[in-house]
Parts: sequence; structure tokens; C-alpha cells
Amino acid sequence: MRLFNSDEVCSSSGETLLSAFENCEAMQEKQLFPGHLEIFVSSPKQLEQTLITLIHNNRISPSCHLLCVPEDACGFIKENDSGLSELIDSGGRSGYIIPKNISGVLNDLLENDRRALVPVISSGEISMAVVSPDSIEGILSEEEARGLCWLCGNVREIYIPVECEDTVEDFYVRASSAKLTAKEQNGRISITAEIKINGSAEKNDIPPEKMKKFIAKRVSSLCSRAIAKTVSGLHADLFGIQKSIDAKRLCKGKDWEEIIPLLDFYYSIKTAE
Amino acid sequence: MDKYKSLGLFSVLICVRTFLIICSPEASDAAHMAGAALSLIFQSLCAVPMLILYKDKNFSLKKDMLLGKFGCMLYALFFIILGSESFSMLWEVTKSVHFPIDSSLTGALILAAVCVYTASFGIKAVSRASWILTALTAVSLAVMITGAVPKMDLSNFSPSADTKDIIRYALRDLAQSGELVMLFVLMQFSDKQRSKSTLAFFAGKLILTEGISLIEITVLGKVMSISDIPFFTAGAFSQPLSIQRADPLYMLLFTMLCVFTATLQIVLSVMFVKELLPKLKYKTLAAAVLMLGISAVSGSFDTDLLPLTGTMIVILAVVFPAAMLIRRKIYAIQKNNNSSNNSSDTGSPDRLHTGEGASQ
Repeated sequence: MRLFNSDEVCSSSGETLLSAFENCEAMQEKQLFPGHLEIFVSSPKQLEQTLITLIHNNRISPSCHLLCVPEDACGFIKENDSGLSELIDSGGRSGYIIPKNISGVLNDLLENDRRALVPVISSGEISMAVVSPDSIEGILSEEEARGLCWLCGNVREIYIPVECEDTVEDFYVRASSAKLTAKEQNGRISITAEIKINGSAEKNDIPPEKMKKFIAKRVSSLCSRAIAKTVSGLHADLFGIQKSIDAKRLCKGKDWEEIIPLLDFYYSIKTAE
Repeated sequence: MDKYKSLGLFSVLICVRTFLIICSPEASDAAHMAGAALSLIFQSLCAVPMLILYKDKNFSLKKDMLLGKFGCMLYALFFIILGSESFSMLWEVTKSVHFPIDSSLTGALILAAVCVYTASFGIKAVSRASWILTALTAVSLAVMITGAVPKMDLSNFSPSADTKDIIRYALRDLAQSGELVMLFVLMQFSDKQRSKSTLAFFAGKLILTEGISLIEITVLGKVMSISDIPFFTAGAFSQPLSIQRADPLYMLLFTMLCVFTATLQIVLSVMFVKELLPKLKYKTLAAAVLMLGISAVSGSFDTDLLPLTGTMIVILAVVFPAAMLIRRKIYAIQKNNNSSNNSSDTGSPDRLHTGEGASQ
């Protein structure tokens, strides 16, 4: 645990999370107040149980950020004892990380698919990972993580490079939003991801209509990669697809694993200045 | 005993209900919400005989009490059991939510001492305090809503509910509605606007119950199933604006409402004990000790007092007022018959004497 406004790291170990806390308090000779803890770094082993303990204990804020490392969280903290919170914030602003708090991750893990999205640091690089209650199921590439950010409506105030015929141009995204809707078609389920982008190209030499097509192509490509990896590959429902299906009372009595082969994804990208 | 001003009835009862809602360990869902609404409709109907009784200026709960002193004893017992439930809730919440106190027992003893002291100020002080607590409740809920709205996920709410579950929750809600008995007893201290206060209370209770349930369902989602006290978890999840933790506000509200509810129950139980044992000393202290004792015993034997309180609520808030009303109506009819007989048989001293006797 890194102390507030200090470079000092207060560390302790214990057989359980709470016993480690107790030992840490004993070493400090005073009661620790973790109510304003900014970031909780954990290895994926027994992740769900750890988060339940934190929520039950009620001492750590559920809005505390969560970061996963594949193994040895303690060793990782000793080597990287500062700047982790800022790293997650900047990743979120850049549109390739979705900052997740412990309440959000726990909520996702308790859903039917038992999967959640968590920022992860692996081989020195920050990315997103799909975790199950006890392990990391898969780490996403940068492109896949960016697609996830678009699908979660998490992209705003950034420049994205867009391939326009022979050149690459900057497109400024002021804000974006995403909405997933489910529809039944010939015994299959069509999921339409409608992404609304508010932004404009930096240079005005490309006609706006053409630019809209280029940006739609770019965003659709990122989204389809993210879907292929998470839904088809890792069988994770990270965007509340099952909730959309249940709300429309489609696929009654079918569980998530039975629904996955029936899904077809479509992207509707709308750009406005 | 002092009377309190108009709408005091509303604020007192709404504070009692808020305490019950924030201490509830049950996970909310659509069936729970529908059950609460159904129970509220029934409770509103139960309030009609009470209002009719108090409309008659000659009605006095003490004088017209059904079963005389035994009736008073039932009311006193009910409020003592209800007070013990308040202390049990305090113990449950301090076990589940991190409170900065050494032990739950110490906390309960300190709060009991505070309740004994505040009970000595009487019902008027309780009524005045209820306005401050109603304001604090409103502020706390405003803070919670401010934090909850951006985190609400309406897809967490599934509007489907089984009829059996709705009826089960409605019965459960009725068994927890001790404020219905309080409404009947407290109406005697409200000199005017009883109907308005009662209506405002039922409307407030509906909004409060359904509103908090909706916040818990939409903000907590699946986490609600593992939460011990959903209200506090929802409070921790919905951190408003830049304030990282608003939990102390909810803890303050919980503590003050606990003191308020226990104090009110001590005041009401003492009021009936006075009728039974007018010469008994230290009634307030005895009531508080009894409440703590029952709470400790029921806690250590893991006894669910809900069936008992539910039955008592039906007897004291439904059967008693209805029976009192019927009895008064019968007396009124008899009185009318006798007076009409008297007027037609003027000059017959024997019949006149019998008629007067019957009407008394």
C-alpha cells in the first residue's frame, strides 16, 4: 500500500487479504484508513472472492480502480510503486483502456457469463483483459481494446488516425456514444451496435461524406475485432448483450453459451460535426 | 400529554419507516416492489376505521380501549418487542457495515442510554426531532440520488414477477409495518389534519420504498445478491460528484434514526405501562432494559420475531380499531333507539331509566 502524499510504501503479507491488512496496521502501530484507496492491484487468482471480501468489509470504496497483473501483484507493486492510477487515467483518455472499479468488475463477474473486463499490465504494457472469477482468460491487443472502448461509448476528446485512400488523416472525436439493440431474424439474433460520433477531420480537403465513410470503416473494423475476440473467442458478454436479448424476450430459456452461435453483429456508425 | 402540530404524524412515521428501509437485509426486485405496493393499499384501508374513530371528538383510546387493561398490556408489549427489533437491527448493521465502535454491545448500550434520556422529554420532543430527521433523510437521499443517477443501469431491472412472490412480499411487508399500530396510537396526539397526515405518510412511504428499491436494483445489479445491507452498499456504490465517500452521512442518518425509533417505542410503551402500573418507578429505564434483553435473547437464539409482530399488527391495527368502531356504532344505534323510544313513551319513568342505563 502506497501512502497518500508520500513515496513510502507500506507493505505486509498475510494468509488472507484482511489478515494482511491487520499485519500492515500492526507494523504501522496505527489504524489504516483505506477508504480513499485509489487503485487495487491484484493477480487473477481468487479475484472474485477477493472483491467480495472488499465489498463486504466496506472499508474500501467500491469506486476504487482495479488493475490486474498476471502474477505476483506484490512484487509488481514493489517495482512500480507510483503512477499506476495516472497510467490508467491516461489510458482511459487515450481510448485504449476502460478504467474499471471493483464494483463494476464484481458486478460483471456475477453475471451469467462469469466474465469481466479489467485493465491489465502484462510484459510492461497496459491493455485490457477478460477475466473469469479465478484467472485471466485472454489479453486483448491494442486494436481490440480500442474496439471495446468504442463499443462501450468510452471514446471522447481524442485524435484518431483514419486511412483516407492514399493518406492517413487525423479525425478529432469530441464525444461518442454506443447502443446495442437485439432483433430476431430467421431464427438468429441480430445485434446492431449503433455508434454515434461527434467530431470532425482536422483538414478540410476531404469531403465530409467521404470522411464519414472512412471513419465508419475504421470504427467498424476495430469493433468487429473486439467482438471476434471477446464474444466468439472468449465467450464473454461485456456489453450486456444477454440483457438486451432478455429485455426483448428473445431466446427464452437459453443460456449464454447456447446464444453465442446464434449471434450476428452489425455496425451502424453515424458521424455528426 | 402534549399534542404536536399538524403533519407531525407524517414526519414521525416517515422516520420510523426510513429506519426500517435502510436496515432491511432483503434484496429488492420487481416482486418486492409490487408486494410493498399491495401491502400499502391494504394498510391504507386499515387506516379508514382509525380515522373514523378519531373523527368523533368523544373518542379516547384509553377510555375506549378494547379488553381494558389487557388491551393496554398488548400495546405495551408490542412496542417493547418493536423496540427490541430496533436494537437487533442496530446489531445486524454494525456487524455488516464497518462502524468505528469497539463492539456492537457497547454501541447498543450507549444508544439505549441516549434513548432513555431523550424519552424523558415526551412525545412533543419526539415530534420536533422528527422534522430535523425528515430533513436529514431528504438531504441523504438527495446525495444518494445525485451519485446514483449516472450509475443506474435500467437493464438490471426485470419487470417480471410471480404472483406467489408478490403475495409473500406483501405479507412480509405488512408484518414489518409496525408504524400502522403507531399511527393508531399517535393519532390521539394530533389535534387536526389527521387525514392529511395519514395520506401524506402513505404517499411518502410508497415513494420511499419504491424509490430506494429502484436505486438498489439499478445501481447494484447482481452485487445486491451478495450484499448484507443493500442500502449501505448502494450508498457506497453511488459516490456523488467529487466526494469519494458519502457513507458517513448514511451512518449518521442510521444512528439518529435508530435513537429516534427506539425513543419513540420507549415513549409509547411507557404510556401504556402507566395505565397498567401507575405507581411503577423508572418505567423508561425498565422499558429500555426489556428491549435490550429481548433483543439479546432473540439474537442469541436466532429467533425470528416477524410472525409474532405480524400477528400483533393485525390484532392491534386492524382488529382493535375495527372492533372499537363497530362497538361505538352499536352503542350509537342503541342510544338512538332508546332516545326515540323515550320520546314516544314520555311519561313512563321505568323505560326512561332503562334507556339511560343502556346508553352509558
